[in-house]
Amino acid sequence: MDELYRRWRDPETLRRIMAPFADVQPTGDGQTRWSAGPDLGSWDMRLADDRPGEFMRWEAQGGGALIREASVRFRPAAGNRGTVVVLRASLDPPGGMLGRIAAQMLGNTVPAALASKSLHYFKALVQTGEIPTTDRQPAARPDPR
Amino acid sequence: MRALIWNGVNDLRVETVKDPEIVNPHDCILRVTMSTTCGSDLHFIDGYIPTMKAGDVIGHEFMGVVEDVGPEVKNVKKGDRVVVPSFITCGQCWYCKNKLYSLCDNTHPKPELQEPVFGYPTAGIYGYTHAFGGYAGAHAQYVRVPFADNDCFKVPDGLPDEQVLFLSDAAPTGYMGADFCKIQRGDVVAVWGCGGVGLMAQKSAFLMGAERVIGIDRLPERLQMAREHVGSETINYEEVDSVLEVLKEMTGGRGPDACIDAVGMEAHGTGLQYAYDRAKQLMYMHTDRGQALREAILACRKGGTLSILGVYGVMDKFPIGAIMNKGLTVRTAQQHGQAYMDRLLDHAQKGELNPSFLATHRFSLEDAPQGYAMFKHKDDGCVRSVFIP
Repeated sequence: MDELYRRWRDPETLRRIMAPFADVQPTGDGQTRWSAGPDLGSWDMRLADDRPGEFMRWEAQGGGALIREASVRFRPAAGNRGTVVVLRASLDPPGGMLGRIAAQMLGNTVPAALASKSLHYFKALVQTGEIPTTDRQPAARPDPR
Repeated sequence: MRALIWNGVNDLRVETVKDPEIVNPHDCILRVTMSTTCGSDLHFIDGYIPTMKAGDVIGHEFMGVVEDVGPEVKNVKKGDRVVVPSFITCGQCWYCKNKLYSLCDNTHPKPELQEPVFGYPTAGIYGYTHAFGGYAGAHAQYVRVPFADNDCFKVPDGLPDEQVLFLSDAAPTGYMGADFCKIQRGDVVAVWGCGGVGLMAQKSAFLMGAERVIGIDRLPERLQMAREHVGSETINYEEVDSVLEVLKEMTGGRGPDACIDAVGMEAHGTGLQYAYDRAKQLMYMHTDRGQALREAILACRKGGTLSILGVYGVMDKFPIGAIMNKGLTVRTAQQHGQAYMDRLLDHAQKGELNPSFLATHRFSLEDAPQGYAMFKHKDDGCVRSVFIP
């Protein structure tokens, strides 16, 4: 749990596992700048709660943040099979009421899939030292991924 | 480099694409020396498995020579001649440590495409839809192999390419299918399908101690292969009224101890059930023609084992009642090749396993579309087309 906590605190880890969704850069003082492209915008997040080896929680600074709040919790898995990592994120979709209605119609699928993908990538990175990728591979189209 | 590209349903072309490069630290680049068609490729070529993208390099059964290695590769070096199982596996996760390699947790770059359908993502595979990872395939001059230390198996000197190539997929798939059957001396094993995987399953059943193996197909040349190269008895299902009745007669009314399905979602068959499946599949109302699997379920003796190697999507009219009431054990998986490779290479070196007879037709990579057409239509007795870049 301590190792996973340590890895998650590393800004480079966050940058790599969130890459499909947002560009995450450290800005000092434990803050990070999240950029999710022209439609979803950018915002800053601040570490608001920190219990080493156990729990971390971040809050968005100011308005217009897609992710209002996020937390990660570590606990031992049953049967001594490693560690369970729980990622929670509260989303505030852009576009005011219309955006919110659209997000409701989508249900939780999109945010849940993003969270799940980030956790898969975190697991791969910690267990193998790399994240599976199809970047830069051969394909007969402009974006080979 | 040159590579075989999927451009749409039934549209394969050889095109020039950029060479693969080392992207992750455990990668290697392989110069492909030989690759082969697999029946499961036909499912996405024909459009029954979604999530292909125009421009994908296809092919997942291959071998080659290591050309370059990433900084973290320890056991594989430039110049090594290796065979590579079709599923990409990390060797570090719980599934790999339990030898369930095709279920590896860490090699799927796009788990969000597969989780809604299967609940959890499988391992990634070369050249086989984006739902299975979207990795570039191996019908090409070069291919990137992630986790080279875990997935590249050195080929002992003296074994020619044709004998080793099928250890990439057909042989381990068939071997695993027979292993699932927990064969006891004296057992009778029936195998639906006498293509590459089915013939390898039949051969493996004998290697594991089966007394009689019965191969079922409709193509005389494949049934002949089963008899001559493997030693199986055979049934041509187009020439009998009921495969079930023939199997009952052959086994004194008891039924085969284990039934292996090596056919999958594009089964051919006869009668009303086949017409029903075919019509629904043509209208894309379901993905699977399941005649072989249904027949295997029905024919299996009470308390026997059903081993499913054929690739399926979602099937309706599935006779779960026959499985339940007869108390069948169902075992199935995509191939855990890394678990079997040492044994397979050992069998090959002792001369007990020589799958090279599957390579009925050879083509240069440039003629790969023609090779797939022959393979699909089984022209000229084609069992497997082999490509040499």
